[in-house]
Amino acid sequence: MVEMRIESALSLLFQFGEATLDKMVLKRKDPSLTEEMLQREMEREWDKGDTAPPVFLYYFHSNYRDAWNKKEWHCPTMKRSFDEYINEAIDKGWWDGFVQPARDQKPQVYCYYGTSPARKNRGWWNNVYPELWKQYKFIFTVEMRWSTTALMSDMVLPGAGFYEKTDTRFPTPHVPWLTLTEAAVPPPGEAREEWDIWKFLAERMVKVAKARNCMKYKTRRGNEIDLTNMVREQTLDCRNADHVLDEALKESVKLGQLPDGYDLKKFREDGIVRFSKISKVDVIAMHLATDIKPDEPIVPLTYHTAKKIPYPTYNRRMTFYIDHDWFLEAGEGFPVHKDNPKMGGNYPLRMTSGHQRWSVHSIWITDDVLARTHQGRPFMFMNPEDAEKRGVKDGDLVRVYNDFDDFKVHVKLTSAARSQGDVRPGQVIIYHAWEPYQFEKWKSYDTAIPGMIKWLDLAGGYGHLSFYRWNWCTQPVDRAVSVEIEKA
Amino acid sequence: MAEVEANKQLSPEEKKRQEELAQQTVAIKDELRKTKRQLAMVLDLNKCIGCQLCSMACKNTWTKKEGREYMWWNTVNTMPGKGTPKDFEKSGGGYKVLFEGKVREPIRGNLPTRKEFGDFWKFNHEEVINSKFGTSVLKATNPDGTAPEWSMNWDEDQGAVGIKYPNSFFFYLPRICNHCTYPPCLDACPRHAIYKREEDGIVLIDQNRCKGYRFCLESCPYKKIYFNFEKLTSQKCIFCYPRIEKGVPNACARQCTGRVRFVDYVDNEQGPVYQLVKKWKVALPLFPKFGTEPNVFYVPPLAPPRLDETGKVDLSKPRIPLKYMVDLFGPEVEQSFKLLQQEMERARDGEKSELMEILMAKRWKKMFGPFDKDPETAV
Amino acid sequence: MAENTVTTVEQLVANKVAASKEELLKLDSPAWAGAKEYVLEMAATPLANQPSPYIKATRDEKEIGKITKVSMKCLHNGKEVFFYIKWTPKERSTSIGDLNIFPDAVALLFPMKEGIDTPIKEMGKEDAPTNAWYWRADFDNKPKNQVTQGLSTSLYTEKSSVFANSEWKDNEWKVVMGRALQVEEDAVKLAAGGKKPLGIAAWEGAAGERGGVKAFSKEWRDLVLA
Repeated sequence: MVEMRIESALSLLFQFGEATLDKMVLKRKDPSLTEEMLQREMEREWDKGDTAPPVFLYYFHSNYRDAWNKKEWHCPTMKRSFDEYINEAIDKGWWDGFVQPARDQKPQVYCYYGTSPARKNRGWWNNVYPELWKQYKFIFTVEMRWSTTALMSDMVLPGAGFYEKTDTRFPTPHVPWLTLTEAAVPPPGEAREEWDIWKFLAERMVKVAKARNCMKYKTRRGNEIDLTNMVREQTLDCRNADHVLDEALKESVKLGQLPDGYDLKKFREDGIVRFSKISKVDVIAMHLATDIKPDEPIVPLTYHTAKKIPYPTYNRRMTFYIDHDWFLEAGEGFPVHKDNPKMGGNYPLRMTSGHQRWSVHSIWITDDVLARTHQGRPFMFMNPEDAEKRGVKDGDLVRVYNDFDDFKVHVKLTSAARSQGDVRPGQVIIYHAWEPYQFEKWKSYDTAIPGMIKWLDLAGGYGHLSFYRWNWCTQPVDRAVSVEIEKA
Repeated sequence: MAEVEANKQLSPEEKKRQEELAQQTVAIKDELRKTKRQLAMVLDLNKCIGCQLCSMACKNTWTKKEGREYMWWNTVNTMPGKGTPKDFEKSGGGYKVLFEGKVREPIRGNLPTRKEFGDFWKFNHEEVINSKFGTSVLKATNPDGTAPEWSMNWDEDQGAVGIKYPNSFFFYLPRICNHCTYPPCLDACPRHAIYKREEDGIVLIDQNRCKGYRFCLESCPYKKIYFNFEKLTSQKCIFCYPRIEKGVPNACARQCTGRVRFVDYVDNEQGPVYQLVKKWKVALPLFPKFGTEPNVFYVPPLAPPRLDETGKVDLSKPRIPLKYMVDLFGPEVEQSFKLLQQEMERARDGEKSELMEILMAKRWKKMFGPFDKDPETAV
Repeated sequence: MAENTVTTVEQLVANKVAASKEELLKLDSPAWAGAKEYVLEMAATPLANQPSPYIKATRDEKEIGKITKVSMKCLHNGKEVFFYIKWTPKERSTSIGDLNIFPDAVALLFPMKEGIDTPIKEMGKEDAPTNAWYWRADFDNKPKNQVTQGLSTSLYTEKSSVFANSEWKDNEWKVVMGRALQVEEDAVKLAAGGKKPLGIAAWEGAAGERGGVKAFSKEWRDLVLA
């Protein structure tokens, strides 16, 4: 996907010329914009219509709205109702172009990919399943394993796993090297490389559209869509995934990110290649704001610290003070400590989580061999003193609950988990990634997380506090959730 | 004593024959134990993150089929913990060493159970996939249908008992067969099936001679031997000798993402093992009290400082009690810690520390002495 | 003890009967009714001879050899020879159910060469091999044929013509083991009208007996194939 992005950026670049493109943006912005800022602005424009933060989908169309509107689960410094804040944010135009699906729009088809929403969407059973999930007419995915969500979908297209396709890790100089991961075995059964699957889907879409005589249509935003060239646009005229990768590598050379003459053939010989430069087209990489030097660690932000190029912030400096009205109202003009909000209700324990070590996220979590190294089932750490107070012993099955929901899990006692004190809450720790179907009724620990978002994350219109992908947007909080525990 | 009584009834010829046989056995065992060189492994516990990559590398290389499915020739346990098999530390075996190592008196050991190792669980994937969502839960089941109660790292991340937050501690202890200089398994085997390879000291069980009596498992104080219920023989870590023979390091060592494991001949003075074990003496065997002289060594784990009642750093005593470390690695551990700390300080102060450079292992292949070949291209 | 039980056993006689292999393999076959029953006293294998410093150091001879006697009948039909062995262990153990579990077993031992001193306590020696017929409760009544030339040298031959039937009843093992007099594999040669020294060993699995930790008949007895 990143390759495709680079490709489309490149074609624009070649079409208009860098200077022309810059001018297009500069017309609307001031001339002091740095390349980094410029690229961010362009990214923001491109994303409009293609990309949206999920907050509006969930606020308009799911039960997250109910959780977010529980004022007592927010920080007491939230002065007004959540509704008021989100409506103000929309009304003020801070999210223009990204408020979708619209309030009056009905989401119909749900395609998720590279994730498992029934596990990952916090409080999914309460927040998504009752309304939004049932409203979708069709739910599908490309998956390489039976995730909980895949099991609940209408269609699962079997995709090739990590070791069944050629790919790269990681296409960003945040890691100094680009690594080739070669297919060790062919995809089993009906599984195919994703590239093939998406190409096939594009071909089928065109076929169906032709048959129904609707090759052209207008989107809600008024954009004209023409499917005539859809397959070409999707495949960039490449024959297969290897071909795409080869082209992407060559384009990266043109952009200066990889050494001269690099292509898939050379990459196959080396297996690993060091990035040589940060590309102007890749805004994510540009935020490193530094030069990559051979055989030296990558030290970010030297453009700002050494070359004195302004930071892409509101005041173009390293910013600690935010005089946005909302921040001042919440007492967060400066960074400040605030106690955990009582997300889920007023309970004496806080549930936190983190990665385990023996699987990569959730991908191998149900692998039999790996499961045999531990307890083969989800577990939660708890302080022995806190457990004793509740009559809980090591290995017991417990019910973890709050005002939002509950789930059951086995506990392991360890003094590595903080004990409950006079004022401080106790801590229970559960590794995430457990598959919901490893829990009774498929209610994983995420079940008890209301998935609160902080109202201040909706602020905008303030320099760097303005949405674009992977940077300024709302985040559901999944740590320090209020819970109580009892023996199941 | 019973032997003495029995001897009373023996004729002089019979007595003589018994002595002959006893001497023969000793001579055979000496022969089986004899080596010209010794391979060894050093594991830096300060770098182990308990990811089980070593266990998986070993499993995929050696123990995926033919009755070996339930075995873990390589294990990683949380310490303090009961380990694998459960409570193996208390299972006996090994030697009582007398007269400065001149005499080794075997100590009787216990046989663990499959469940104490962690049995070969079955999972109901099919059922989960084929039933209505929310109804069937993915579960592990022992082959006999019971629910699992122990496994290779069942008490993972729990650590020290009876210590109050925030001074808890734990670390990971990866283990393979120790390829001991005095392998009690070798002494125990009435079949003379266990031997040390003369060229490198790797301890192997001759699968053609083994009859599965499990005296070896009984006598091994580390309980690093498994019984193959299909082949009816005992099996264990083979130090990846088919790889070693091609100049390729052990799967567990080569796959270790934390660069924890060094492999080399102990007598290779330029190599990392010699440097860490003989020269710097920071790497120590596990449970030297068992008297077997392991050839797997550990750089003992340092820990963050203790915190006092008020949350301030308290350097008056270490977070991991020294007594516990001595129990694991012997009294030499104190000196090892001193050296490690001293060298760390030097490195922090910008001075060059040879020891720290070895342990940091910037040059990955240097960790493996002469075994620096790629398994894919090695012939 | 049955009427035809004999306890002094210098010599065991296998009389010839006109009965098929199938009949003689049956544990309640009337063909066995007339056969003499010999009781063989057993003793622990000498600890001093154990080819394992570990076993020597950690066992007590008094605790070895739990099966102190077995009873045996022998018959042949001109083609095959049969041994009907009975003993009563304290507890039955039928399989290697776990790492710490050992199955019950019994074995017959024969010197393979004539006219050479073959030490029973060492299961033979170089140039004086022994042949064992080794029945074990987990072998599915397919006893192994084993050749040994001194302690810790025993090896199963690839082929074994030894057959068996067994039953656990009234706290007693009943095992019939037999073999054709003439077989292809490396094994003791038997012939009607001949005489062969015979030894016997038994293991009580529940007591952890396996390998050299067992009870045995101490001396060779003569087996006469009448």
